[in-house]
Amino acid sequence: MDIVIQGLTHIYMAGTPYERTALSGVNLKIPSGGYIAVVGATGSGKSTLIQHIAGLLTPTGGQVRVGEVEISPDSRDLSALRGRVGVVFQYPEHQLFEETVAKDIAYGPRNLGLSDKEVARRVEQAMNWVGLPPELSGRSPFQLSGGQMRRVAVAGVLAMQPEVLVLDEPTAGLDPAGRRELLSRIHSLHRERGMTVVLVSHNMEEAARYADQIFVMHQGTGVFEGTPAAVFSRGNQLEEWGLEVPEVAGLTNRLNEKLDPPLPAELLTLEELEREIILRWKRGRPR
Amino acid sequence: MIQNPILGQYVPGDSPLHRLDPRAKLLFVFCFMVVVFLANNGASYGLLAGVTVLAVGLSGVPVWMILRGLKPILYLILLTAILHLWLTRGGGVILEWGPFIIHRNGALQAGWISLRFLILILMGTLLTLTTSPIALTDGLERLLSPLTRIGVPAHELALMMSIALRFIPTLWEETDKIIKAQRARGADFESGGLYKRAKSYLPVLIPLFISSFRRAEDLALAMEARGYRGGRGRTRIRELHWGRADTVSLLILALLTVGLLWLRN
Repeated sequence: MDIVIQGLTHIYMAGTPYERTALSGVNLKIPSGGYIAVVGATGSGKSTLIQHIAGLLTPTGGQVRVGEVEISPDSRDLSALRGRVGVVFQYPEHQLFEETVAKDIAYGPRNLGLSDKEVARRVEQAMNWVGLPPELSGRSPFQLSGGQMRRVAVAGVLAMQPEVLVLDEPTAGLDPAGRRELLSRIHSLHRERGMTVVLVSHNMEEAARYADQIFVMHQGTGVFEGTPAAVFSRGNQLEEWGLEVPEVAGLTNRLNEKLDPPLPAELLTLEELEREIILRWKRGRPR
Repeated sequence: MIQNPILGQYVPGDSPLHRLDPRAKLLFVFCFMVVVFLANNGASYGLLAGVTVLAVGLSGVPVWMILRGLKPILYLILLTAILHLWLTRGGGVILEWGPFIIHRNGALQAGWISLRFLILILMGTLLTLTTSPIALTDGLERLLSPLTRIGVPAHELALMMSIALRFIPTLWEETDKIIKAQRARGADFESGGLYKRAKSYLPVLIPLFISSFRRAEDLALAMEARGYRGGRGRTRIRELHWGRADTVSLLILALLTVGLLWLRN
């Protein structure tokens, strides 16, 4: 399912003194099976944008097309997207409500009208995907640790087997190991199942590590779209947009002040930088 | 998202009504609500309506906003008016149409009651439209403080009120978020009978309850950590000042009462 967004504008509480424009004229194309990271400072319109992709908000202007479903300002019924676009909101563990982990994960598939057998199969599969041990299925979700609750909530979305998965700051409040594990599990689902992923983050490191495209938002509009390397080569401009240069890119820049020839700018992860430095060091040794 | 202005939502401004001391406004509105019941004929209702229109004008709040907020109440007024038209007897029949017989007294009652209702609600709305929730609770606490001697927990009541007001938007946002999250998981809040629809809100209400308890606990902890020990000996950053305008507003109220007593029959 390709996602095409054209001239998308959204105004909250239009026509009242509290009117606020959250999005103005956003254009974005996300190819089927892509992994795009939407980055931007707080209040740049990221969350509003993804709610349109999930069919949870109707645009004030412009249109959003997800697969063959088109959402425009006069769309009434948005339920065609339910189950096909999964959304993991910020702090998704706050939406848990069932008595047991398995029942909570089953809520989405059940709403899709699947048979009991299929629902049970999907629950088991989703728990496996997020790394929840099967013996937790009978426990109350409220007795679990924060990290486990987060996984239950993510599993609840994945169990619907959406073609597009939208994640709004999925790692907020997790420890570094938990962050990495959650995102790498989602990344492998993206690779294996061809699931389109839209990741909202203001952690540039995360965005660079997993996404193949980065969409930068600033004050309700898209200001840049490109590969992670292209975005980070923007240096100072990133700060203007309220974003920070990732640590690795910063370190590379500082090293380059002393190195000739400089290290390539597209080093985005610590691993890549490490490999490059070792390579250089080995090359330099024989002399 | 809240799409319409809510009845009585505070509108910041700098009108004469905004500048009045919250204590004066509270006293005025409270007494006004009592004296409204003195009116029983055209002249006395006219006086009340005049004062109300004057107050609306002084508030500087756009009239359309007040009217929009009043919309849900209008149905209630309409309903009471219809009931009065239909059920109040006496004074001779003025209209007869099938089972609907309208008596003269019924028509009068319907008119007066609707007007009284409207005046009461407008005045009450003006209070919250022109007074920030913080000023309102401050004023209430000060007005209630003489009663602490007979065991009324004035400070605690005011605190409860301000916390409740403070968390309305937060809870509203939270509700919005959870509804969206469950909707994305295929929840259907619109179709089915009353029972099914009520049941479909469980996945929203349960998380909301849980988060409210968590929030309350966090808030209590944060208050204790910052040394909150109740109202005793507490000084405030915003002192209330009773000015000349406040005295004048209460004089107007007294004049209004005298006027009503004189005009009613």
